[in-house]
Amino acid sequence: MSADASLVASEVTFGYDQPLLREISLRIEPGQCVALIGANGAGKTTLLRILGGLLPPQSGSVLFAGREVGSLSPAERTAALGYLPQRSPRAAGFAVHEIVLMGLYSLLPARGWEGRTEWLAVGRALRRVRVEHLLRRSFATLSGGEQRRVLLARALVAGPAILLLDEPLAALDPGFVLEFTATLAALKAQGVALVVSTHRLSFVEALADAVIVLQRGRVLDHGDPEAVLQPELLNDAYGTDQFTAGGRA
Amino acid sequence: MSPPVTARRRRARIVVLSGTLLAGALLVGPLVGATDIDLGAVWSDPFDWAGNPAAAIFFMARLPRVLLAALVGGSLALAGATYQSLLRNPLASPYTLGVTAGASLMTFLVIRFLPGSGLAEFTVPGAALAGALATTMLVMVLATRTGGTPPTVLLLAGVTLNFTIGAAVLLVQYFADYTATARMVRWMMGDLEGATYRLLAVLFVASLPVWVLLLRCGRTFNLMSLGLEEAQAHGIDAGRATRRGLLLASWLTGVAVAVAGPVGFVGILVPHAVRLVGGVDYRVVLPGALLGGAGFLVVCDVLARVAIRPVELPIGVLTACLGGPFFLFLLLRRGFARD
Amino acid sequence: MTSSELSWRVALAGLFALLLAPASGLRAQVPQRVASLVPAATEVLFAIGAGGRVVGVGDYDDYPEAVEALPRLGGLVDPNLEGILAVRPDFVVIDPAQRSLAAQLEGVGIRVYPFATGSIQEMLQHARSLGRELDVDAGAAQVVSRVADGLASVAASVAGRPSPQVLVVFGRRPGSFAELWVSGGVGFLHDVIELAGGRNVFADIARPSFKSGLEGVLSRAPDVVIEALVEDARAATVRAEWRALPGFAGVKVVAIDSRWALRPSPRVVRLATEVADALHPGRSR
Repeated sequence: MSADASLVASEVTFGYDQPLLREISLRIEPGQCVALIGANGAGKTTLLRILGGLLPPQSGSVLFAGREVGSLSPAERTAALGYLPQRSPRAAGFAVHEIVLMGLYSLLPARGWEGRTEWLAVGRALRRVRVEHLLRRSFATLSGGEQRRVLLARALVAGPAILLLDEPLAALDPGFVLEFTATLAALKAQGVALVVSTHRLSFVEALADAVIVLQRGRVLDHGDPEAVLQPELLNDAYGTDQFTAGGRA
Repeated sequence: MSPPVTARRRRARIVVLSGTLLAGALLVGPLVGATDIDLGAVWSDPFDWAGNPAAAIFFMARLPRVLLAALVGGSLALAGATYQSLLRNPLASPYTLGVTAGASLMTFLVIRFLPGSGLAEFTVPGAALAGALATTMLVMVLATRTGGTPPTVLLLAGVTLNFTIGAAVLLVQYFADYTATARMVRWMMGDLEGATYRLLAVLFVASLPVWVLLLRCGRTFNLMSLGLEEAQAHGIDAGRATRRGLLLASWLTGVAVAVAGPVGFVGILVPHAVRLVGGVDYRVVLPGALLGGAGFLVVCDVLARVAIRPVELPIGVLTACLGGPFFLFLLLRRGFARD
Repeated sequence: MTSSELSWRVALAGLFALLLAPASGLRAQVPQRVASLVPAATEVLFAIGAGGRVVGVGDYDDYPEAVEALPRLGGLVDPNLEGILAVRPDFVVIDPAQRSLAAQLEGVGIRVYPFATGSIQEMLQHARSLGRELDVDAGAAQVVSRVADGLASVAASVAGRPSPQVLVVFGRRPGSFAELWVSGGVGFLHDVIELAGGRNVFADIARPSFKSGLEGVLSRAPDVVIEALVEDARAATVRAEWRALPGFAGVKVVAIDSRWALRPSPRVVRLATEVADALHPGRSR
């Protein structure tokens, strides 16, 4: 991963009838973990999708290594940015290895089939998230946490520099949360940049180098988690008055 | 760690399996029929149909039917697999979006208002095809107006059209006289008879490019069947892929229904049968459906012609008789409901 | 038994007598207002001389001309109960399949007559039976003997002649031989063919009608094809289509009008004559 493999968003704006994102600017360096927090509807998912090149911004730009993500070919984008969506798919009968392999589809030649290289990549990805033993299992039979890991493997299989994760810890039990956090920490140690939207503030404190707080499409605050995650700010961000100096979600 | 059986190898297996079924059916099909003919006599003078009744039966009454069955069966099964992927519904069939309703309406209008039309050979099929395509367009427009192309919207639009056009069909049937109504009812049963080699050639030319285009969509359908978000996450324009796929599948269905009437069960069942044997990867299911559907319908046609010969059973009855129990088996099979 | 108990029984008996009397009285009355939902029955009614009493006919009725002026009362699957009641019939001829209609009519005291369309014999039996019901026995007897004589004369005129093989076609998809429905060895049209000196190629199939593939038709090699058409205008096309089949170049193609030729009515003599003329051109009448 080269030093300029950073993701830079400038003045990104997006909305339908109402604006969902207003002039968001941020920068993610290689190996950094940036957390996106905010109330539901603040624009976290939209921002992640725009960062991943899945949605074109209405104004502003997102550059990866100096190039517009929207102008990257599917193959280039897969190799650069991994995306873990919020919801697990109803994977109608596919096996784990088939799901992970789909992460490589855009890298296969037009009429080509997967070969040894691809299988090795699948195996590597599954090992990185410590679920290689699930290789032949049917995806639909896995637990929520296992499925999440497999999808993470899929996001990783093309060896991207940056991972975009949309609420990866949602609905996982505490055991899985800890395991998943450990996995992400290991990835971060390997130099993968992580952009994680989450509601779990403890995760943010544990792993994030920087946190961006979104409120109704705008950046409310950003910076070092310890400094940013103060009760008044959290109350403002989440529209409540329950955050106190002692309690944390 | 060694890779499991690769998709490529599974596809090869499925192609060989279904291809063999098809080849066998194509071979046996023209050899049996409502009567017994002397095959030696057929080949002694194969082109003198007027003077050689055995050859006439073989080349005029049997072979075109067998070929038509293969064409229609393959197209319907491939279309069905496409619908099941894009609508993300295992119960989707080529008729879910109202294609048959549109084809029926146009056919019945022709039967009612142009009973003795001179352009006969292409009038009814032409009308049916026009109706089928018009309905598909209508579904697309309806869906785009009301909410884009996620499957639920499309399904709703299709169901709506099915009911509405179905009502119109009933109305036309009601106001037609007895003979016209009888003809309409017979059309609905489906019929593989009546194909000339010229029509078969037209059908083949009209279907082959669409087959090729759809067969290439294996990866896309894999991704689409996981969900719109999933597909988009992998760089697929889900809306465009859906529209394109549905149009192609509707074209195949329209062409099939135009010539053979609405033959049921093939489109919904054959893809499931292929999945049972070859797995859910669409790169395997699509070619399997094309070949397997063709073989299946040829077998059904043979049974329809031979079971109580010389009386013929409507093809729809055969597909239902073979297909129904299989579908029951699928339903009862552990895990199907979960997929 | 006390006198009060006795008087109760007498009163009850008297009540029953009162109730029964009108019913038997109805039975004794000859129907004066007749409705008919079956086209064949309508023709029979007019033929036997009860035409003047017909006050309403079915949607598909077209013969004789007098029916054009009469109110339409619905078809086989959709009889119009209100319309029927509006013409105040006391006798309604229905199809045996119209059971719920029968129940409704009988419920309001209207006499119902099921007319099953089947063979010529059945039609003649109905003629006699209707003649009895409507008190036109003489007219009925005339019709029966006219038809019987007419058919006998046709049969006689073709006796001893070799019977051509005849294929009877009820319908097919225009321009092709798909959806081909033909007559088996049972039924009205089959009877007419046999009577007119022809031999039904599918006489061995015990069904009035069934679907046949092209193979069945080619293998049975008929000499004559009789097809029921919607309009005469297409007869030439139809002829050309049949003759284009291999081995059918010399086949005679006879078009009959599906509107009346498929209906067992007193006009069967005309149908039999036409068919006999087509099958045996040189016969003497």
